[in-house]
Amino acid sequence: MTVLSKTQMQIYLPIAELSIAAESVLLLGTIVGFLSGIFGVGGGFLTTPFLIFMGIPPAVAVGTQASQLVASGVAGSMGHFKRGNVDVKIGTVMLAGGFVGTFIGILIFRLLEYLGQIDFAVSLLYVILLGGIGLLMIYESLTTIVRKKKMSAEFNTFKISPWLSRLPYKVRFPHSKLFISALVPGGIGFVGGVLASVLGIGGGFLIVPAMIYILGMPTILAAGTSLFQMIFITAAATILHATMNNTVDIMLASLLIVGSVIGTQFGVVFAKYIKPLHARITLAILVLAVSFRLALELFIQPAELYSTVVWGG
Amino acid sequence: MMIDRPCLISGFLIIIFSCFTGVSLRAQEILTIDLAEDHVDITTGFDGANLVLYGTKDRAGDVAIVVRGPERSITVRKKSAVAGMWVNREWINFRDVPVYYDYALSRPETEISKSPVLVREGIGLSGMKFIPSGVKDDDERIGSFHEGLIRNKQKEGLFPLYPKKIEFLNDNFFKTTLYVPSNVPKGRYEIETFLFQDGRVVDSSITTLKVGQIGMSASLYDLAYNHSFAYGLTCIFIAAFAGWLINFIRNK
Repeated sequence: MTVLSKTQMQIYLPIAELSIAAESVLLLGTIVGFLSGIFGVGGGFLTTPFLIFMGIPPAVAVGTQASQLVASGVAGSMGHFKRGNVDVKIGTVMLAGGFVGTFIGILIFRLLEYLGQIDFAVSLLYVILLGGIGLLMIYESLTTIVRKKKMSAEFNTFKISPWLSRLPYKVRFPHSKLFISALVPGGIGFVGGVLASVLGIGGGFLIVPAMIYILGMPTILAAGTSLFQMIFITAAATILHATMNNTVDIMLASLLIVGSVIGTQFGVVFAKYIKPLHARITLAILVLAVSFRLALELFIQPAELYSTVVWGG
Repeated sequence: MMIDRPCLISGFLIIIFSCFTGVSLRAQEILTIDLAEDHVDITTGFDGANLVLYGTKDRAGDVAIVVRGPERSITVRKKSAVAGMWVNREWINFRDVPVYYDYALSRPETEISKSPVLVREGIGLSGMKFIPSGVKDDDERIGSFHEGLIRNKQKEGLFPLYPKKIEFLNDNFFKTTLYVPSNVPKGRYEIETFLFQDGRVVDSSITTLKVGQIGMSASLYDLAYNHSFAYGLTCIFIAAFAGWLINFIRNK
């Protein structure tokens, strides 16, 4: 074993049951941490696909990523919490829906895995979500450039559509100044929970706009609250993946986390020197690139049409 | 001093016993094989391992060595295009497929024996016939899935591309080295050695090999499978602490 002198440090992942170059995982964690330092995104949308590209089984990639997101959620929401940007009441209602979503998401994941469609479903969902978000971000950035308009941090508060306001179980949320049916934030939480357990993403890029446009929450409160509930959703997803699927690899998670702690530090410093518009376009291009790479795999005929799954252990 | 005595005696007995069995083995057996190590330990730094096998034989003939991992059932899936996208559409289950297989020969297959003999003894990939479970299928379809299975296993490094060579240190003392990659499945492996004369098996011998995680790697695996709730909580705590640390760095 020592005959082959290694330039890389191979580390054996006890749950994935294979060894991987520790540096590459650390690097991935660092890059994702760097990005979240700059953009304030969780980065789950990058970690999961890259882990799969690196040869980690998709189930382990998603399960492990769920635990990694707990770190992003805690890191992101602590500042928001101190500044009073978390609506705990609405967050709790979202959590109720989120837990149901997480559980159902795990069942969907298991079913897809059993049917042999998990890789396909994860890739397709990523292509659609990342492609959509990426294009939207590019469009938004381009219109900003064309109109020479200052980028507004605040979205317009939309009026809640009539059919949503007719839903029962109306509750008052004083912090967000809302009087809406609990089913709406619960439903948004539900979608977030499904995404967390099926895709291993926090889903902030989908949840936050939904909270702003559908619920009519102020942007800053939406971001803080979304991160706050994400901690518990991803924690629940971690427990469920660990107990039902045995797909959380603590070694892999630790490497990613160490990388992200390092990367965040650089990201935060770097963020001071980069223009928000440029940062946004860069992120959009990155998101589109990942989406494109996954789409290629879906549409180009693979060299090997056959794949195998070993049962039992 | 009192404590040392039983140890000394038992140690002495072991030496006598091993000499005795060693001698008796050499006197009776036609074929004897031994592994340099009878276990593959998967540690945190594990990145594949060499299996070194030694053997002696007391007469002329060809040697074949087969290493076989535990058997599992395997689903082979085949992708086909649906609306331009490549999706798993068909599958066949195969029963009792060894999770690892490798073999070594002293001479090329065709020179050792006739194909049916090798197939019967399970020597070589060409003779492998895994049995599909469930519904009956046409042979051609099964055949292509079977080939797909073998290709996949070869790509993972768990099935060989070609037989390894058995080296002879003298006429009767031989050695071979097989490699197990880092993704080697755990379990009890069987190593079967055959001695061929004029294309017939004159002797065979079986030894076992244990492949398993040890040390921290094994503890983590055990924790994850037998105390999964505590394991999940541990992962969450590590992550939460890291989150706090990230936030601390940001505010500094």
